[in-house]
Amino acid sequence: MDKKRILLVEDDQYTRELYEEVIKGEGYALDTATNGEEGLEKIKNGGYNLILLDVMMPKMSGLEVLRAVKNDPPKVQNGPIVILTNLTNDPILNQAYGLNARDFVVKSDITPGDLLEKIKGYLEESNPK
Amino acid sequence: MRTQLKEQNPYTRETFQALWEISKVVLETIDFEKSTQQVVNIILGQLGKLRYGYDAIVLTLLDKEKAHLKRIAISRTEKAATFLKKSPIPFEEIIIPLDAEENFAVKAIKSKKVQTTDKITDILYPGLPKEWIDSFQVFIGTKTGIVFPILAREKILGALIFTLNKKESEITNEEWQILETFVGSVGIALDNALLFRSLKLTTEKLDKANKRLQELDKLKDDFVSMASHELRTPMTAIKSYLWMALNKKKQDLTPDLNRYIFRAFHSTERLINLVNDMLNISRIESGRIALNLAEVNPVELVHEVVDEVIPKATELSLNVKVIDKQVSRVLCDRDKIHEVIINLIGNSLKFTKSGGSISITFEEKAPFIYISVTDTGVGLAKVDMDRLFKKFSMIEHSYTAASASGGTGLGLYISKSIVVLHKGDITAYSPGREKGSTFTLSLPIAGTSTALELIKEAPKVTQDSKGLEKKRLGYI
Repeated sequence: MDKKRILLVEDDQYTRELYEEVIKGEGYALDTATNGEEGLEKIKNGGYNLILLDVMMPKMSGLEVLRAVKNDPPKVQNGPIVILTNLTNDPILNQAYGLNARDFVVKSDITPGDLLEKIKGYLEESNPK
Repeated sequence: MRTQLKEQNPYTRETFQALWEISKVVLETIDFEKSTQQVVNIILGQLGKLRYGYDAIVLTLLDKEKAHLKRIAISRTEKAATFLKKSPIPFEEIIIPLDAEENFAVKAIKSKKVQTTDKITDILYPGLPKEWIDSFQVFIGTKTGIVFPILAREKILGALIFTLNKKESEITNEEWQILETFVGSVGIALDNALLFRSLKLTTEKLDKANKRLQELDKLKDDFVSMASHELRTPMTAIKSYLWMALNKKKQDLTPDLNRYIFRAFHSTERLINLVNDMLNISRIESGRIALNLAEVNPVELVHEVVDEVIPKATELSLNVKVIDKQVSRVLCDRDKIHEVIINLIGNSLKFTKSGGSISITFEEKAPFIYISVTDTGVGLAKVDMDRLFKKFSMIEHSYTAASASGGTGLGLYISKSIVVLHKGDITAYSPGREKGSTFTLSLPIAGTSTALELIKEAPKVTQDSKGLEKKRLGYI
């Protein structure tokens, strides 16, 4: 079976490298981007089974990325986009859902173990066996 | 015969009409500038109709702070217009200081008595040069000046100046009485206008202060929001790396290291909880928590929470049971009340020794449903009951349990605030230390008048509204 492809868009180096280690350790193919602009470029290429997107990032925020993807969907489809953030404002959350985010996960509230479980859930859900 | 009557009774139909016009102004006074000018116009208009021979009427007001008399309004008569045209000083700038003792307007104010003179300098000096006043009086032919103090509720407000083209001796008793009545009405009108103005100023000041407070409150909330976001980023890293260390596949930690890291991990969880709770409090206190109200089956909701806590309860060898009962639906924000019930059951888990039990019961007593969480735990002393719901209120003997479990001392305060937003309450009862305790939560039954009030008054979702930070269950 092909490895599932996941894209992680996260500007904080420690968080990014940690999730990278955990996700790769679980056997997924992980691609990373360190800001919104880079993230959008990769999303446009398409083909990811799951995208984990931070909100507060330099150059382009996660919400702006969502908006750009919604307005101009990539030719090659991607799996769900999940917001992975430490922001907890309702207006931002509602905006994200309005822009087709699949879920909204608060990083400080989960452990790496919880993240892996969630990833498994999103992948099964979008690609049932 | 008719003439006779008229002379005996000073209040002719015209006079009554004039007084009526003034009282209309008095009653309708809403704008200070307008009303004073209106008062003068009406008085003069009415006096003009009475053909008593008035040249001009001037209204001056007392400015206590600056200790002077300031001209406010002047009649729109021909002679007044001539005065305005010829005066070397603009009308509004003619100021009489209160220490000009010889001035008749000052005299009238200080003695609270009417002053009469045949020399206009007595009234206008030192507001205008003496020589100019004298020549102007000759030019215009004014023979008498009368100054009435304006009093309202025992307070001096200013003076009303009349100039006449006849001598003082020609003023009849009837005229004096009419003038006094007019001045009395002017006093009331001015008093109203001044009161209204000060009320308006106070309201404006309060509005401004209130706006500023709201701005500050929003700034504070925005700051807390941003600060908690910034705090969470490094805390996420600390917590996650500690978790990694604890969950290494190949266990290469010594028991001591394992314990150190475990405690560091739990302390980070506690810190994150604290940040979340402070954010919640900031939101509750600034009114930015919106309620998404829905009709909810309370028994179902409790089962939902209990299903979540069962693993932890089993781990702690505690028995949690729900005593089901057919009750009405409640009106509440499902997610938020979910958190409240988690908090209550979580507290019971924290403060009950293994082998103990926790039971949840329901009671319906319109307009509320009462949900009670009873445990066989450490219980409460009477002195602790009042402190329970305050911020950072972890009671002394609870500290060890709370620190090990990640408690912040803010949970009950937040829970109670949320339930109070729902028009309900949380109360605590315990027969004493080591005798267990019962926490009872009340929520309005859907459809009752309390629920209808809640719908009307509940904070709605706005641009500023925020949700509630959720607590992790893992460490309860």
